[in-house]
Amino acid sequence: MASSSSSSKTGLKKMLTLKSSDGDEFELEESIVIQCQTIKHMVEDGFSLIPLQNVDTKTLTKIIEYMKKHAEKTESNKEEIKNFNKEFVKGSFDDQFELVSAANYLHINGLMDLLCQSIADRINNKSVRAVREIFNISNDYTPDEEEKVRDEHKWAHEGGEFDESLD
Amino acid sequence: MAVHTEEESIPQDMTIQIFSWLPIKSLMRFKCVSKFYNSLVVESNFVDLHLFHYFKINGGDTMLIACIKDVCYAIEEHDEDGNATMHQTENLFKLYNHINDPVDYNCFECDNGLFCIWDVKYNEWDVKYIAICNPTTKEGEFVKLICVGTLESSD
Repeated sequence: MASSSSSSKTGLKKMLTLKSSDGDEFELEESIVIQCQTIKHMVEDGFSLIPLQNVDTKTLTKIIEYMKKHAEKTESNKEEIKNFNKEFVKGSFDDQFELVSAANYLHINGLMDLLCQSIADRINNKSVRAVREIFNISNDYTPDEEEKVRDEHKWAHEGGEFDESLD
Repeated sequence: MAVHTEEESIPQDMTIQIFSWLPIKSLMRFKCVSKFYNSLVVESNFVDLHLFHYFKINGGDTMLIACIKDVCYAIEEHDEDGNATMHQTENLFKLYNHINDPVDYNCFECDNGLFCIWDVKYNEWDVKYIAICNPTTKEGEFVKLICVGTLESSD
């Protein structure tokens, strides 16, 4: 397969620096960082210091942890990656939302899917009220309107108690 | 633990991404969250995104969905040997009860997961029943009651 960006043929790995919104710098191999589409495009444009104004140090550290692990992905360590992913998505909703926001901005598709799917799993059994709280959505229905929408899809509200907790 | 401070709210494009991974039942329940989510669920871009993720989760491609009596089946094709498997999906909306004469019904699928169902035993003097339904949301609607040919004027 033809690849135009094989700059590490010399044995010297090409390094890039990512700079968080807090000003912290992280030096990484290009091969790890290009999982991220946004950075990949910047590298192609010749940048080697990449300022990420929308990503703070805490979030960037997690993102780098993800990219490093996933750069190691082979046929034989599927189970290990799976376990890593499982651990990665633990944490408060707030932390997860920060990560989604960063993954979205950086265009790391695999991470975006992982995070969104895991959040969806976590809210799947939540009550309507809990979902409003977690996403900070204000209820713009009148009680009558809400009742009407509920009646249209009664089956979706049946089948046991829904989880009211916010974590 | 306070989940959010007052001024913080999750951008809508992010919640849309997250919601698109939800099973249909929760999605229909969360129509009650706010008016935005009520309309989102039936918005065509969202439906496409949801279907796309649904296939990712469930693996394989759902090729065709068939309705036999009031039960709905998804027919999926295996990648390798091409053998088709059939899975029973959710019970179809009680369409059946709306039709006086419970005979067999034919069905075809439209692009967006909706189905059109009609009476197999249709002949030109019969009244033809046509219903559009969406088995995943369990919504059904008779769109037309067409009289084909001439209705008999006397018995």
